[in-house]
Amino acid sequence: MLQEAKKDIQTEVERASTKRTYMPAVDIFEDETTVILYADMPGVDEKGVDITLEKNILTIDGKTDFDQSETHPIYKREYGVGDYHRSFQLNDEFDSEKISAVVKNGVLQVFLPRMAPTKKKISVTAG
Amino acid sequence: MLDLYFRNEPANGGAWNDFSTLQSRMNRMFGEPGEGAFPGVNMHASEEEILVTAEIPGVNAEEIDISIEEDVLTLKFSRQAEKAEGMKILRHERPAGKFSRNIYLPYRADSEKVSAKTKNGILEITLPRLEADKPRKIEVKHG
Repeated sequence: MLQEAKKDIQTEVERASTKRTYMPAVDIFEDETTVILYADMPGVDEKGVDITLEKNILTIDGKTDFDQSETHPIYKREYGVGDYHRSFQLNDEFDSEKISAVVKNGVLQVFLPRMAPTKKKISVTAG
Repeated sequence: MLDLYFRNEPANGGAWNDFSTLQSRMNRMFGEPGEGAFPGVNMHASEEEILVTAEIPGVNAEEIDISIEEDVLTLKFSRQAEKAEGMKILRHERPAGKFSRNIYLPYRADSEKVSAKTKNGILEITLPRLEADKPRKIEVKHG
């Protein structure tokens, strides 16, 4: 039983380097208060991750530098070594200040707390 | 072209063998065998040692079972699907379940000297060549 794990993505902007970019597989969960995202990014540590939220677009980037091909000649290649990139359109409002993320064993975990519904009381004064 | 055995056939073989051999021949013609499989496995080899790497994000080192028989390296592990109590699943793309791969090595390795480590979700196995398997130079004596 084999499952597809890694997808090569075409980036709209041509890259200057020969390093390829892959789309990480994700699991996403949600409830009323939080969205949790898991992304498979083997070879990426906490220093290589970049997460941005801009205009409701969540973007995750992962940089790898792990490749043995320089020291050992490659014999058989099934997976490519490269960076990771994926963007998501978020429909709801999230508190960008409270977004947190962890990387463990090559899996990125992102917690996105939803914005608490703000109740603004507008006082009406008699004119 | 290097004629290397790198098949994804089930360990018990049986009726699938013929098909997977045909499949691997076709893969050799049209692309890399096992491309897109989980876990992806890469193999590097020099005259002295083989280096096998596999992408196993989220799998702990102690959950991986590695064995060698003759020139076949077998990897076994399971990866649990993430669970979040009471939460709705929006996407489920990450492969989960039990995985097993047979990797045909280009030569026999010394199973006593095999070492393995994991780092950032990548498994790295170093397999030094078996001494008896190393090519030997035979001197031709002058008659």
